[in-house]
Amino acid sequence: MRGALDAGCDFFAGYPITPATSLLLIAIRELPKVGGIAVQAEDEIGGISMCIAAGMAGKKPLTATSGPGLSLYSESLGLAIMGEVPLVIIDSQRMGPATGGATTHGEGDIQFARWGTSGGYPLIVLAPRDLRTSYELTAHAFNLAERYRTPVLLMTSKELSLTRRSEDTATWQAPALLKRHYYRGDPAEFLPYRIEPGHDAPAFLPIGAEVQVRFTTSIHGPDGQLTSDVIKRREKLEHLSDKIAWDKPGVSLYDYDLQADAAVLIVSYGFAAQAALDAVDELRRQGVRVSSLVLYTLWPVPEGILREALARHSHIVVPEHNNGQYLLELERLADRRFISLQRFDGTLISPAEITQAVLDAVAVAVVL
Amino acid sequence: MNPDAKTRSAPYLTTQEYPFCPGCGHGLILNALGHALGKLQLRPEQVAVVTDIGCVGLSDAHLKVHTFHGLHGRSVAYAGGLKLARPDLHVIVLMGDGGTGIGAGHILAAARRNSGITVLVFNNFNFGMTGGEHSVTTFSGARTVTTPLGNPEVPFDIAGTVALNGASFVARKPSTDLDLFDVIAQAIATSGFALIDIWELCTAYFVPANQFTGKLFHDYAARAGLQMGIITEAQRPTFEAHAQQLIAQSEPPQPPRGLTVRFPGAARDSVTQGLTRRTGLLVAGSAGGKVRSAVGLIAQAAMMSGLHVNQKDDYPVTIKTGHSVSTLVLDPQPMRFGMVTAPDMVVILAPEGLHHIRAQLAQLPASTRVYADASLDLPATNAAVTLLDTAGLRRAVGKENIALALSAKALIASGTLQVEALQAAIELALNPAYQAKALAAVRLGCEL
Repeated sequence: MRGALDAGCDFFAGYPITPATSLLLIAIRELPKVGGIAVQAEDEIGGISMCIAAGMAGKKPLTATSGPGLSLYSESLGLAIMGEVPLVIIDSQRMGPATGGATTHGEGDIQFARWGTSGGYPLIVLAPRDLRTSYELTAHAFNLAERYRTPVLLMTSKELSLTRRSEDTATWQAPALLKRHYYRGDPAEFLPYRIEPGHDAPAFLPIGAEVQVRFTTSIHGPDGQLTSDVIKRREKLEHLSDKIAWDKPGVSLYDYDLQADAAVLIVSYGFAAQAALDAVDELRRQGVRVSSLVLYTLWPVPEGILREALARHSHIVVPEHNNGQYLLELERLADRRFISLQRFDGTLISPAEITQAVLDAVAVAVVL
Repeated sequence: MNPDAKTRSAPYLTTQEYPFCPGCGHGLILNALGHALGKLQLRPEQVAVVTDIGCVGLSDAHLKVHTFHGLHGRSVAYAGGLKLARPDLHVIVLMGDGGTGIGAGHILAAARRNSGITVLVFNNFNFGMTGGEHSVTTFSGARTVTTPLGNPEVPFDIAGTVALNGASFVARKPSTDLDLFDVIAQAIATSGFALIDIWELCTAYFVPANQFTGKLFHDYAARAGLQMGIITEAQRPTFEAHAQQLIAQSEPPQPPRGLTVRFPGAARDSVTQGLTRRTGLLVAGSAGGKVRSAVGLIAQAAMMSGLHVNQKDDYPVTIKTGHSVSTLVLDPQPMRFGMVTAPDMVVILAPEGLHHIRAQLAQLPASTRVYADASLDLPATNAAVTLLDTAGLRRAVGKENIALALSAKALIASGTLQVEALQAAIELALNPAYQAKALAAVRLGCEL
């Protein structure tokens, strides 16, 4: 939430749910101090709906929930994609499915985050691994939401949101903030969904501007009017598909630590990355060569760095606090030997387990 | 004189033909809305109309004000968000009786908040767009494609319901009333939540299925016990005014409070250089036993001693019952994963906590020191167990300080922290009213 405040968030609406409630509480306490508004909504759908409307009125909205609430957000995610709404959503994941374990760790919303609404159109999903990356990625999330006019999901978890830690916040570095691209042309010629050359999303004017602004969840042309024109429909939907891509500026975020002559690579994200990085330190202390790729952007899949990293290693260790959800994305990118470490009982994959998996892999791996 | 209900007010409505069926009331209501906006002399840019799903959702194209067309039933929630973000806008919802059913929760919430929006319910007693299914406002006994024996449900009195739940202005009007525009203008001019339940004909489905006509509106209303005309006029502060008041009364934000290292080299004794390896403390008690608070205090003392900390809490959703277990890991170096395989110190305060860590207890190494309340029945373990009679301590400092007392004993006895660091953390973090007992708990705990 500190990251959101520093990123200029000025509107929050959400519904209490463990382990995301602390975000609602801090928003209620802190947002009015910066002239912002925070609301406890009647339900999750009300919360995200208020955020979407506020975003289209020019605010920088944030909402936060956990798996059950994200399920209720489903239809509204589609609305935010279709209407091109800048919106940041924090999913503090817990054990699923359904109510699952309210105070139990889990990171099982990874595929749902991408495919959780009808139509199959993309959005951006980021995953911090600790408090520092939570802070920094929140700023990235707001920037990406503003630049691409899209919902951006930040996938945190019970382990991150309910664990208390000492942190040296002076070392935290958020990126410079991006401003939404406002329409500056002739007001009489404003079209709410026209894309100017050189821009990733339509130029924005808020509802309440001095010219009429239309917003719609239905298929529309540049004028924001319902359309049955096949060409206009195709242009709109291709735009929605194309604007979110791994090679667009600022989209692919990761830490790649390549070690020369390493045959084994660990690909990790979320809280499992903490154990993975500890395992890398331990292995290198033992003189074992191993590379690490920590992903902060999960969707769109950062295919550039993944293809590069997967090509250089014969064995890939993939620790996940779910039933192997991101493994599916890696498997389609390269024909490699994948060692999937899965944990979804609420306990955590330890550095020792990853260390052992790498040692086992090193014994049979080939330096490419 | 009333304006002609068949004409459209040019600043707000296009001249393009409406897409509604012949005899449908939707066009009359849109015309009345245009005349209401004209009567209030609002500029189109001052008005935002939110449309729901259904035939009414086709209205956007004919409006020359700001338009927001969203998901089925959620229009009132969008309107609430718009009004909060832009209190200067006049936000008007156009929704059908279908949207009123699926979105009833949002409507009630908006009425109770007194959100400063206006809701016009285009109520034609059935779902027109999807083929004449019954809705929440369909009269009892009425024929629709989904009520072959006649509707077994009682109609939802949306107007009466919001009137009972905090709305500022509520009315029920037939779409054919020539003064409809005037009542809409009154609703829009209301600062708080306003709703008009506007009755109209669905000539495609409800009219032919029920031999229904506009002449029957008042008969049906009387039979269902529903009041026509203006039902409520009240004034109370709006939700948006409340939000602005909160902003006006807020202090400027303060940066997060950091901790200063005042006890570097928290040491076994003055010779060694303090904690040299990762150390874990596990405290297992019951809910309400201040386990998490005590461990949080200790974590602050450790930070003031130059250590890095990671406090992982484990408790059920019940909050005030069941176990409460905290694991604190201390390290001279920054941590990532921040866990230990086995804790160096274990404090067990209550049966709930013991039950929760029982399996873990059996696997502890001999190097772990366990401090447990003497009343507990501990299973066999290789760890070094010290049973402590806490009865006197409970009398002296209260049961809410036992977690702190026993944890202090474990930490001080092992030389992990200096007692001065714990005292300083108590003085920094606790309300003065609680400090004396907490300080006594640390002192008496160490003496056990």
